[in-house]
Amino acid sequence: MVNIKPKKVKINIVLVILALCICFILASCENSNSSTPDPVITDESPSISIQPSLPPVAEEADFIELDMIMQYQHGIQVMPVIYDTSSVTLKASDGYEVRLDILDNGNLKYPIYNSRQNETLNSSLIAVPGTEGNQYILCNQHKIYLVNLSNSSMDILLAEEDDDTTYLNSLENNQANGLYWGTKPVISEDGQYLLYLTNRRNNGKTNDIRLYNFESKEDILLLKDAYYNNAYISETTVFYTCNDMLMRIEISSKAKASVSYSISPNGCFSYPYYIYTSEYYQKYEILNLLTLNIEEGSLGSEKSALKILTLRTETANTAAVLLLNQQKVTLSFIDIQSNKLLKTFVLSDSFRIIYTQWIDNDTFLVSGYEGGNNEKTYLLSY
Amino acid sequence: MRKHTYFRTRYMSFLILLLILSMLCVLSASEYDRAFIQKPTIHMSLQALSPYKNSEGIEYWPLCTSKNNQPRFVSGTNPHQGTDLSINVGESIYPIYDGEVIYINKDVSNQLGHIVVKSEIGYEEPIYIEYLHVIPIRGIDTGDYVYTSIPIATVDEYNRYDSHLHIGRVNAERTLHYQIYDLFSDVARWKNGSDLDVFSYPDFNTETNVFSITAYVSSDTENTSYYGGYGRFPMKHITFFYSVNNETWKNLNITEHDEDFRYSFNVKDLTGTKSNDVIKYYITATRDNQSLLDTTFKDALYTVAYYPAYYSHPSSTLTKEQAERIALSLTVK
Repeated sequence: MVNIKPKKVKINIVLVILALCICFILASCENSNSSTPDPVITDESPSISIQPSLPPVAEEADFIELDMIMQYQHGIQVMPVIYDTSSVTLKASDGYEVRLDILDNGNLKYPIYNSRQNETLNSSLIAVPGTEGNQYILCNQHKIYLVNLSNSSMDILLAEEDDDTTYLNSLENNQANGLYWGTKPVISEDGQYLLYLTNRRNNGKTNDIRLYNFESKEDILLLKDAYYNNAYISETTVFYTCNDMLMRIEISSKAKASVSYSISPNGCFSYPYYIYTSEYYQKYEILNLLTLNIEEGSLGSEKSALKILTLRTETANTAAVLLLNQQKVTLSFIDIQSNKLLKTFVLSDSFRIIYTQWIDNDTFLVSGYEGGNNEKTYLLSY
Repeated sequence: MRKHTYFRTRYMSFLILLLILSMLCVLSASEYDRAFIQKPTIHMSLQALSPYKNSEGIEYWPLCTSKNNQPRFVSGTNPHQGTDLSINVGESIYPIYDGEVIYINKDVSNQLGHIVVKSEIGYEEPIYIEYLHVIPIRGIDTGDYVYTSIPIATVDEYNRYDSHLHIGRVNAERTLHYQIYDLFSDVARWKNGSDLDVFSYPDFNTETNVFSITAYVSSDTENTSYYGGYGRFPMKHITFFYSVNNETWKNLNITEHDEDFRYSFNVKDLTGTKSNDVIKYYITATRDNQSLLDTTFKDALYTVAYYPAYYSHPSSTLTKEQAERIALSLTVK
């Protein structure tokens, strides 16, 4: 029989209470560090979220809710229009004529694309880096033009003929739907190169990948009988995806090599990474283009379809990943380098997305209709 | 016993007769070879998004190279059961509405990768949109719910056809093809959707008796006189077929149209009818197979498209029975 003294019992009770307090404090500290949890989450309710049922938190810089549809082009808000706009009609030497809407924000002019209102323009323009906002690439899905706003001109960027054919010959021999003299323009970050596809060598059949050098004006045939879904041009190398493949071509030697045979074109480059969905739902992978290391991750539930949009700065590679489950929308920011979840926002249970954009190095825009036909925009930062 | 056998024989004869009649009905129906449904989607609150856009959601509007219901002179369906959009290989294709994948063909060996998405858009019935000549995105399958902001496929490379997207509104079985222009009625680059169907925006003004309809074709291929090798071309003429108060069918050709290819004519003046006469009508649009501009259609045999669209391979003139089957009616003021 054990003899228990009342004094010892009291001490034990105090010790137990003390231990419980320590556990509680430790648990609280752990929760406060959860801004960088493991990205593998299986719960639809992430640890950090701002529920849409809460009133708008205008004073919080990381979450702004607006009752309108917004769109940005060239980093400038174009919808709803807040700057003066004017129209200019440009005509290229081949007769192609287009009406551009020019937005004037006081300091600079930007060509904007009113997608549903412009009768002559098929797609948005791409700014050429390093031209102080003066030069833009215009692709009408058949040819590529260079628009110069400083003198209001538009020129055919690519020659109308090369060693193999001329535009008119290709047109004559094109038997069905498409002669694409130049499509899918991708510009390098330094503005030196333009990557594009053309099927002119084969009279509108198989495509070639070509590279135009803005400095030397050279137009190089990089790879015959090939095409890309998505591409990135580094200083020395072109990386491109083609269905399940990710390939690299050295610009100087045109040497081609495979990087991976098991990616998905539903992804984005954020050099030196390519982040993509490994399945339609929930799972993603991050491929390091230089080391070939692959990191895996999972977000949301098994019915969360993923949409990925990346950002690259000098110090960071960030992905905004939208998780769509019917009309329920969640947004997660991921640090691509470490494959860590930065922050998650639960946006809405009833949302139809129209635009999703990075509008600067910190802020991501999700715009569309909520609960039917109510215009809504979320501006979110991590 | 004999009486019982007698009734059994009669019963069997009746069943056989019923079977023969049923077969005749089926044969009779198949003669019409229905391929299209003309049923504008009115009171629809949700406009479709473009199947072609950048990853941010900014929509692009590629040229249409062959409209739905368009007579053409190439391999494939004729009149065209769907709309061809000129989009090069590798480009991402997005569903024009959120919805469920109800059919998918991942076999792309013949460039026939195919996805059909069923969408509830607040209209009275679901809408089914097909995407053809594509490579489905990895992991996507029947039963999956897809979104306008996530690509479902990429345009396939040249094999049998030049790279392009064939898009169409179909029924659940993919046997019938609806008009699609009304899903894009606010898109200026596509002439408010008129670029996508041979006929669009039919309208009868009950006050003035003026009937209006837009009709034109998009070239399948090259025309060096026209920018980019593609263009919109007027019909040779449209023909108004009509029957007044159930009398004999007659017809009149109309060639005048405005710069937007809209034909407008006063039905009362044109037909010489009186107030309160009931006119049954249908319209054909004849593509010019001798056009010097629309060169790819030269010497083509099938030249007509019908409003309302109905037949897969129509002759230029319908029998009375065929006409009665598709005819619409209006009452003259």
